[in-house]
Amino acid sequence: MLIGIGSDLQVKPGKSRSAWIGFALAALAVMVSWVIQSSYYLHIANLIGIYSLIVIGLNLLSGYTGQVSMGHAGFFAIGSYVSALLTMKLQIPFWLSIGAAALVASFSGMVIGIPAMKLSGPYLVMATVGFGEIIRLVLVNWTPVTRGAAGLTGIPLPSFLGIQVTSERDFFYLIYALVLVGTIAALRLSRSKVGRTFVAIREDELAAEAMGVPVNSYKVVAFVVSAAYAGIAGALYGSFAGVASPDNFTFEDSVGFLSMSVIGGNRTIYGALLGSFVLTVLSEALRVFQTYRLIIYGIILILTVIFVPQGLSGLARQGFVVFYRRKTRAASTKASLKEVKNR
Amino acid sequence: MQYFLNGLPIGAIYALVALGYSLIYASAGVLNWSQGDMVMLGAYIGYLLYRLLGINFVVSLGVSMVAVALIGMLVERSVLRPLRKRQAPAINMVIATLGVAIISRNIALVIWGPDAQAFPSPVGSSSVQMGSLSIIPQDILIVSVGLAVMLFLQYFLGYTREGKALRAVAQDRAAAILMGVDVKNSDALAFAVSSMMGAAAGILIAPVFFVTFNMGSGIGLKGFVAAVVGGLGNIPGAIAGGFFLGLTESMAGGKISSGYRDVIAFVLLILVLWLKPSGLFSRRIHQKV
Amino acid sequence: MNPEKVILQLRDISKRFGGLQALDNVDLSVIHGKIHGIIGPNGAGKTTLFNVITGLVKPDRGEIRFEGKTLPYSAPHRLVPLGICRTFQNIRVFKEMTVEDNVLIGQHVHTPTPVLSILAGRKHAREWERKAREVAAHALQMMGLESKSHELAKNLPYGQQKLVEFARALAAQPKVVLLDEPAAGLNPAEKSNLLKIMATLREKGYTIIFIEHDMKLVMNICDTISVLDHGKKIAEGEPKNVRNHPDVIKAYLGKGGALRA
Repeated sequence: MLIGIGSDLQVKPGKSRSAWIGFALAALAVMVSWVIQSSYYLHIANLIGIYSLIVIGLNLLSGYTGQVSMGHAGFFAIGSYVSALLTMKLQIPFWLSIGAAALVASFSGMVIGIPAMKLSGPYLVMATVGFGEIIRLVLVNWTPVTRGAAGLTGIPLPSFLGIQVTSERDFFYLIYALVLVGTIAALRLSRSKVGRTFVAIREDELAAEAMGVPVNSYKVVAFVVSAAYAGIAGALYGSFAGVASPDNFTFEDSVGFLSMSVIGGNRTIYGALLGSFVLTVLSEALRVFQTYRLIIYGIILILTVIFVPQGLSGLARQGFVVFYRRKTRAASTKASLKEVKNR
Repeated sequence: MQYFLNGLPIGAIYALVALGYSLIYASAGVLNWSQGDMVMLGAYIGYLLYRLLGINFVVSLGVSMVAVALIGMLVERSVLRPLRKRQAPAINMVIATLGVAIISRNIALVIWGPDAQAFPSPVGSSSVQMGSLSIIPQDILIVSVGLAVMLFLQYFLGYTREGKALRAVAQDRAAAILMGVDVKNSDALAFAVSSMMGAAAGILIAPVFFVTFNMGSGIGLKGFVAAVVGGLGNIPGAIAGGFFLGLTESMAGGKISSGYRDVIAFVLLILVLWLKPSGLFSRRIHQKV
Repeated sequence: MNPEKVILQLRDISKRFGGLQALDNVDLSVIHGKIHGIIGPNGAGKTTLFNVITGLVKPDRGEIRFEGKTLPYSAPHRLVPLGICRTFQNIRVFKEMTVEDNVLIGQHVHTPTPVLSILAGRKHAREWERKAREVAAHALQMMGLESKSHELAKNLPYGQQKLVEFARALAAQPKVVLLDEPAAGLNPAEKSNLLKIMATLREKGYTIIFIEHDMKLVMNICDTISVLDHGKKIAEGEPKNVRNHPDVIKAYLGKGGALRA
């Protein structure tokens, strides 16, 4: 699998590549919003946008830095509750509460990142699972503030720059504006020195350390950044759904985010968008099967990780690599095919 | 003392589930997230046999264990083996076993419905007063059958040909292959034995918690915690971790608050991991440069 | 520059792993601008010595002085900016990264991380990136790998992966480079290429410490050789003196042997 850093620059060294991608995404989003008339489809599109933000952060952490998190629902929950409580109890403007959500989530990312930096493999998984569970249990038990298992209801609709967000379509623009910003920021980060260092840590922690990389600090940074994405997504989700209850932030939700990350391809940023889209649409489309829905979902999940081990974006990239090399360097075609085969 | 007694049966259950995680991790190098759902399947099959068909408890226990062992082998065969053949990343194995969990959970939902099913205890669930302590016969059954299954596992690993092969694979997969051990068989065996222990845990816990389609989620998570505390892949560690977790929970629940009991358990675990990253009951291994 | 200036000095370094005395009161003085070979049988403690110098292993006892100052024991990454960098015995390139990106990681401590500028896509960040790539290209040119810079490291043959690691270490602009068995597994052509690179580096004023099993290589290029056996330094000096040192012959071949040279 090719990593989206040097290999991308090699293909197209244009200076404003991420801006171009951003423009294309924005155009696409606007077109989609024109095409989609039913509010049900807009609702699904909005969910996809929210999940995309979480999974982008998860990809930076798990795919790039190699630190698998099975507790991202915890950061998502923190974002939701912080933003909801601030807007409900203190009447703070929505854009400020989103910032606060990101900040508090990042801080919790640092808190879990510090013990996590010493851990790897199953032990890291354990710590992140534990973190997610702690957050959920606190939400259930801290009744005076979180209203326990019932959760917060009546979270106000956001208003942004004096514009009141009310319809699914308004939310669509709000959510996708943030997805756009989040995607561009993540793309720039991933293709910079920071992203390169993340990948080096994933590939060989010890070698990175020996090359002068402060590995522990970078791991914590990856947690902080990833948590900020989930926190922002959480703030959006709370105002979008109007409610925030512990049931929305379970271990199963963390697992769902991780599945999106892996199915989409966790070593690219746009894999996050792809994964969120595919799994959310799949899960909705399977509703026709009623009770058999999740059985089929599970089977598709398994088949995908077996037959598309690098995720959908990895698959697309492999195809691209073969095509590109064949076109430009006929001599090395054999090698690249072999390389693809080896994966 | 009462808390200690209350912690023992749940500790035995956690230990059984933790053993499943550890055994599969040690031999196949995989975190099997469907372990908790093997518990659920074991409970449902036991329920079907014992409650609905009125078959004798011991027979029900045995049949259910064998049936779930077969399911475990099926999982290994149909999910793990293809992944291994393609040298998929570890995270794909995690997602795949989570997929198995989703599937089993929903199959159970389709067959048995969403309602919790009562599973009457074969020995009685009302407590018997012994001095200042109250003891529930079902708890005694849980602890004694649990220990018997663990002893059986020790015997199996220590004295049978297949068990020894499994241990060899767990210690050094590459060396075991060189020595002619069929690692595919031993992976299947690890899944079978782990699932079997999960099934035993399921039937034993069923009279306490009722049988529901999503009972595997909580127990599975706790079993994983116990396995990690004991040092994943470490068999005695898993047993120690299970009892440690059960007793800690019982004490924390009794002394502090039941609502925050699990919070305390998890905070403790993260601290333990921080201070001793490879589990409480294992020695740290240095990475060779 | 004073040719006899000691750049790196180890005093009484000892390290014990359980029952194994990996290093036993080792003293070592490395002269600036020279190539210093470390030889010894398997398990003599050579790699442990490297790990101690680069901060991966904390010695039980002893002191390391670099350019006259005592090195505090701290995280390995803090030693790189001072001018100490290494390669590994078993290749540890970043496999799924391009050759160029591998080398860029070597430059980590010498390039800034302008996060805000990166996020804003400003020229400033791109300018740094471009400069870093120029430096990397230079390091790769030295190794003769410039045509491979966009290949994934794992797709290169073994010998070239070793050179990538070498280039990565050089990119950190070290004063002292520690090479752990750089020639192991190389074919004769690759070995002579390696010797050439090392000689060029010596001319440029780098100090090189390297572990090697190939006696011919060691004898040909080293200015000084230290011999370790069972964690102790048993001999030291110019190649021709060390070659005939009785303890060395005994350690290597048992009694009665002679070293090929």
